[in-house]
Amino acid sequence: MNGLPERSRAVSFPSVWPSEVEKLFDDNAARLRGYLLSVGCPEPDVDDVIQDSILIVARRYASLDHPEMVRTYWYRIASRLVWKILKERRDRSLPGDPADYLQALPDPVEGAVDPDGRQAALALVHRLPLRQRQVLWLRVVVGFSEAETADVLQISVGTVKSQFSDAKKNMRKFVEGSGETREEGTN
Amino acid sequence: MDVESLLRTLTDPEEPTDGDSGRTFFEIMQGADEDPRERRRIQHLADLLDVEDAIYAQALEHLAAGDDHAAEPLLRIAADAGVGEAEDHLARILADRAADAVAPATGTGTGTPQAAGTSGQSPDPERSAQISTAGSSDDLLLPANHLRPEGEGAPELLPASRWTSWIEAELAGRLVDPTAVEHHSDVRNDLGLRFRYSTVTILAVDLRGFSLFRKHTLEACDFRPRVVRHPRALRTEEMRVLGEVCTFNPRFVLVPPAHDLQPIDQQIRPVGRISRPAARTVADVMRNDVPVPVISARTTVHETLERMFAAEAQVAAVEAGSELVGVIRLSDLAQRLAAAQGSPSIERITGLIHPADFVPPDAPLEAVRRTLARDPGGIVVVRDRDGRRLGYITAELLLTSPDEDDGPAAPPVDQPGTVTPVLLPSRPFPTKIGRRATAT
Repeated sequence: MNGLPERSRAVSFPSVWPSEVEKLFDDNAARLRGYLLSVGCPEPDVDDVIQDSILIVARRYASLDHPEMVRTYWYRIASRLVWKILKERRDRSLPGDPADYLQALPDPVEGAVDPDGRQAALALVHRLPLRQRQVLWLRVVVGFSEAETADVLQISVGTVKSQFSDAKKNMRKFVEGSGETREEGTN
Repeated sequence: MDVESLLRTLTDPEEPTDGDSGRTFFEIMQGADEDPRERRRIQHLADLLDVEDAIYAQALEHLAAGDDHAAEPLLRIAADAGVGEAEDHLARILADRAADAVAPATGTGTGTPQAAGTSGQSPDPERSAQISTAGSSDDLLLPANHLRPEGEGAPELLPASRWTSWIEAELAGRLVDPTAVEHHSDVRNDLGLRFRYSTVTILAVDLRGFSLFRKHTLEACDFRPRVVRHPRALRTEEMRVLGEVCTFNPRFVLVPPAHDLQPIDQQIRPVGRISRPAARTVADVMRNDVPVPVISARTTVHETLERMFAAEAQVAAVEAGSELVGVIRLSDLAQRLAAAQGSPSIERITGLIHPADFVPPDAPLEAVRRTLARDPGGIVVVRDRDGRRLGYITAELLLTSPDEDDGPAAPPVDQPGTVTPVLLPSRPFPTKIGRRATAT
């Protein structure tokens, strides 16, 4: 990494960016990007959310109670920022739901058009209610434990378990072709 | 393809197809370093998140203590911010409230007197109707030996905890236009005038301050001619007269059916054609020179105390960016300082923030009185439609502001206006009512 010029040291930001935060960014930015898109963050806003959230993490790293859990902290901050964006969009009644962009995706039941199944999987995940989507993605794709997932979403471990179970059930229904569309309460 | 296989395809992050993977870590940090506005923006964003977390944490504490009433406003803020399970907790509180509003099913339909326990419990059909002497706020209130109204269309009874106002049916009956009220056949006379509960009119008489409405109430009670009297004289006499027809008891009677449940203010309907002068508004009392230091959520307890002492303030406003997110009271800081045994506390104030109460400048003063009655140590922020802060109101300002009643004559009786019933606190009637008695 290139060193930061001395003149750019800011009073409110750490004089030396924690190397842990830099490593966190390098190792997780792409995966966080996928998570944010999965929970409905608009494509044009994803990079802004990643940038703002990592800046907050860098700003607060020194005061974290559990620096070893900085990854969940980053995901938590990013999730909250996405919520604000989605809320702002809802309040402005802007047309279009991110999931609408996925309507052109192939029917996941067919499978033949999408050999690796990724797009099909994304389409199915987007049919889940928001909380199930978040839990499923964090548990399966990101690889967080139940406790880490609960920490990111600021919910109880019990809720994580139930939402994860419900998400998998719904995904099976979707794959079998009998699933329903997203329930109310999602973005 | 099964679910597990599908999900495994998502574990490898997809590379952006256009080759633009966003800014590098260095570019992001450098941008923040070089742009002070960016630093401030990030700082404010972080502060806002901290405050929202603190509010949610406080809500959870209230829930753990069983205080749903205190938790609800905090949960609304947290739910709006998308924090944790605030939405779920809030939904549960609201669902419980709606469930409490529905009297337990009797199951007999024969008019057998039913007793009512705490809300949510099914009544024992074998027990007689009786007033609960245990004093539980959720007990249904019925006079002794009163037959619980039953049958289709019978009014439903709500727990006392759902009401903070007081109704005296006999009194109300003399004020409303009789033709506007339909009597319900299931209600016995010992409850007073019988109402059709979907249109019930609830009257509450505020004995803490003068109101023309109260004056008319007195006159209607004993059919005295309308004589303009000095408000102070009225107060002594009204206690005597009202005592003859009213039951000064914090426990009260029937309420509208559950489907009519609305916040207490909205359930009180204007009474007849009584007119009164326009009530004073917030703008008449607010001050913008009230010492209210502004602090951020990152300020420590010790620093906040110093600033409040320097400003001789009782309350400080907490801002995140330019948004007022809450207030801090001197009493809370003092408690935290006491817990720290007097040592300067470097703990942040985020755990002590209370949601701020906002009112528009044209809000009636009674709304502020009720708010400050719940929290006499607090402050009400007056802001306009654009969110600009216009001033503040404290309990002290309410007590010391000039009173229209100080004039030599009572207000004229024939000016048009809207009746604004006010609420009687749900506690035993005090033996002495001060001119500016404020519920605490």
